Amino acid sequence: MSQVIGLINYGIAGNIHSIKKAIKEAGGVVKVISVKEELKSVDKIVLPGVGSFKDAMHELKSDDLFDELKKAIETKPTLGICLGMQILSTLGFEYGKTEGLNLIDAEVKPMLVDAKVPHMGFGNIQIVKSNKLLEGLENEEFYFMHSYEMVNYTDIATLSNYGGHQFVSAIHKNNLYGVQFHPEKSREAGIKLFKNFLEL
Amino acid sequence: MSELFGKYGLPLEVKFCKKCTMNNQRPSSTVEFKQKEGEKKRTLVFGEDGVCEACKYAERKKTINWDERHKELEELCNRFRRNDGRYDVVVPGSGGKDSVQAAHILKYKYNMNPILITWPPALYTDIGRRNFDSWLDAGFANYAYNQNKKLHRFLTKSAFLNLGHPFQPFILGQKNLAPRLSVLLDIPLVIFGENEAEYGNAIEDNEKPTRDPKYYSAEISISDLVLGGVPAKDLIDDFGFKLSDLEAYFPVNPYEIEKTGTEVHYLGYYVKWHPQDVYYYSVENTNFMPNDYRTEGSFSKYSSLDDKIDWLHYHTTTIKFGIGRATYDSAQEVRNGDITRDEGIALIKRFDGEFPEQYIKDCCDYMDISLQQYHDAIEKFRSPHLWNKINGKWELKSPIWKENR
Amino acid sequence: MRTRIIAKLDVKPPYVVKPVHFEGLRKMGSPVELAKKYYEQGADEVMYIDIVASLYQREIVFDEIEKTANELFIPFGVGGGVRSVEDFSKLFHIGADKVILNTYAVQENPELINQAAQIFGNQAVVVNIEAKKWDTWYECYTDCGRIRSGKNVLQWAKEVEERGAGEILLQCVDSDGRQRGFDVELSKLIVESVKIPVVVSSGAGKLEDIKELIQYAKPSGVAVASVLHYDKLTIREIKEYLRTCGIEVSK
Repeated sequence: MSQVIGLINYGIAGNIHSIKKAIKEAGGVVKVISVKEELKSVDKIVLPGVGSFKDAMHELKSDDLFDELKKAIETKPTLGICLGMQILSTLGFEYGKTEGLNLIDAEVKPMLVDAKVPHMGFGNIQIVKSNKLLEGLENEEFYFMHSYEMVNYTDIATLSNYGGHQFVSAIHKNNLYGVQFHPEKSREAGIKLFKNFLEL
Repeated sequence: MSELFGKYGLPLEVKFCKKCTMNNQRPSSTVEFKQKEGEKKRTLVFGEDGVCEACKYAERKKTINWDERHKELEELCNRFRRNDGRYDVVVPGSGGKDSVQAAHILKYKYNMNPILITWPPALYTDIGRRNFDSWLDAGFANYAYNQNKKLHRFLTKSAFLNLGHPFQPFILGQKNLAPRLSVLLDIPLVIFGENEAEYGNAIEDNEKPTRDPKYYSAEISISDLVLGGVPAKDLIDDFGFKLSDLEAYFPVNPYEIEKTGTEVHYLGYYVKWHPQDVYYYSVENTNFMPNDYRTEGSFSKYSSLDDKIDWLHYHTTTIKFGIGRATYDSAQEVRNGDITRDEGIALIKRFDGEFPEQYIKDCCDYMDISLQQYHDAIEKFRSPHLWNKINGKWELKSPIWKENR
Repeated sequence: MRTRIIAKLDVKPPYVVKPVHFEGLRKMGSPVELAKKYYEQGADEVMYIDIVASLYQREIVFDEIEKTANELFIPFGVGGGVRSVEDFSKLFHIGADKVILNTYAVQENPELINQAAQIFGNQAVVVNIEAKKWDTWYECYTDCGRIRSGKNVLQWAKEVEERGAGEILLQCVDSDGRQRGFDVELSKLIVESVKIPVVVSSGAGKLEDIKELIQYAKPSGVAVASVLHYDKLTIREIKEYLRTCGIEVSK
């Protein structure tokens, strides 16, 4: 199975390097996508996440990736990581109101919690709806690094707790997955998650 | 002085060592109690390959068998060790890292009984005083010779105005005190923290463990003695001082030295001297602290911290030789492998020759001169072959960062 | 809330060094070797700071950073000599997850914090504070803990939070490398003055030091260096000990 994982490169933000490394470690082949034409040649898609909602969406539009990406996600298994998961939402509220990819009925809002923000560190996940991506990972810890959270009531795959506040830590809708945490920064557990993704 | 040499008999063309950041304008140690105005200096020697003596010595150091030297130190200590409750070694210093390490290893590693002696800085810095206390906190007693302040100030001022060398009275006393106390306390063994020759003085000086007696003893008559550029005779006849006042600055009578059996050794012969290692030793074994901030004129925080006059000293070396604290410090660190030559050059470019803003007022007050008098006086000592005035500002003609390689 | 245990690498490329009071360049190993070693010991993160880039006024050495990043599957914070948005971008592209800055922001242009936070997100911007204690206040130092800035640490901490920094790394010039314990008072003060996470460093010498710091000041993370480099403690030992004291840490 020599599937190609398309890693979307949007502008100057986006930790391509770490995700690429982790996917390789999991046994995958990565192709970095900067232009829409390249989307055709990949089997699966990974949407990385460093940056702000506003800038990420702006980049996708100015790089002319927005439409093709939405189309590609309909047919190819996709994993959004952190901001990559957040932009799947309808609306984001980081630096003003921005429209997202609108693939998940959700809004991205600041985390309001009686604890340090950004949420930074290892945390657990509570599987609400079992899925192949998180198979065998129920008891693992994953690294979180975010100030915003996805607020939705559908398509929730896992929930996590932080400072007494519960938030969505993973979503799943058909072949679309999103994780708020960073599997590429979560040691062996993260590599296993990528392996699961490769095996989808 | 012939046309082949600049002021102080310095070579006209500035040449930099190929390995470190030092240059050929650097003078070697002078026999201070004879220093007069207008003297020609012996400068740092460079080999045919453009490498300076100090670097060559550093190379040699790598081939020395330090285990053997350690044994030699053990034997030396065995020879002088006393088990009857008396001190058996004099360790001079002021609480700087070198004297801290020397005292500590002699007492705790070589099982000696050191007594510390101090020729105090004219103007102790805050950090200097704290480190002096920490030195004693580590478990040592100390004799400090507090100078005749009236005379010491006078000499500092004279040395500055006549020689552009305000540090001279300090150096003089420092070199003399240890042998003097060795005689006084009847403790023949004196061990200094480092080795002057490290800095590029006559390399032969490094081959022996002992300091050449010419630096601290002489059969000298008062007519030969010159202090601060002022003949001793004038100090007595014209300036109202007495012979007894000058005691501390007189080199020790060699007869006394011989009677006591005084031997002045330097630790740098027995223990490989790497200033940063000494710093680490000091902070790991005592409460020694580095400076509270970067030392003006340099980049470091761990050397020559205790005397405010030191800050002026490096300013005068900058004016006279174009060599400031950052150059001295970086050359040492390059030789020891702490930094590269290029890194040294970047540091020199950034910090060398920095005006000693921090303590200039204190030092001028001490010398009873105004800031303007300081600036006027120092211009007398500027070496024309090294400096250019561009848009009203003095700039070095050949700084290291403009060197063509 | 799990307290992160972080390995700090002070780097003078190509070596990891361990200064005391931000002075001294004793070599401890290579960044690649040590990053890998501490990752395998269970570090939650690795922080890599080029401690001489600002002092020597030179460019960031990217190669060394990239090689180190390749060893890690945990967050990698990188700093030292960062002066522009472009520096941030380049660092992310070679594997940094967070970028750490100090000298440039304090001495020249604090706006960079705002710019970087906006482009890369707050969580990716870490401000390193090198605090020097005076009688009645703490001053921000730069250029490897040796150049004064006149800025008050407490005020600066609040300012950087406002500007968008996502995390503070708090180091103390007076205790760093001495292995005699942390400045718990300052740590508590800073942790309580901002809403963003604070990672405290400088002073770990024994297990009790780390416990005392966490219990008293409640930092989001503790960064250690000397105890690791000198093989006095391993991260695993630290975590096990903290667990027995009832302090939550990651696996």
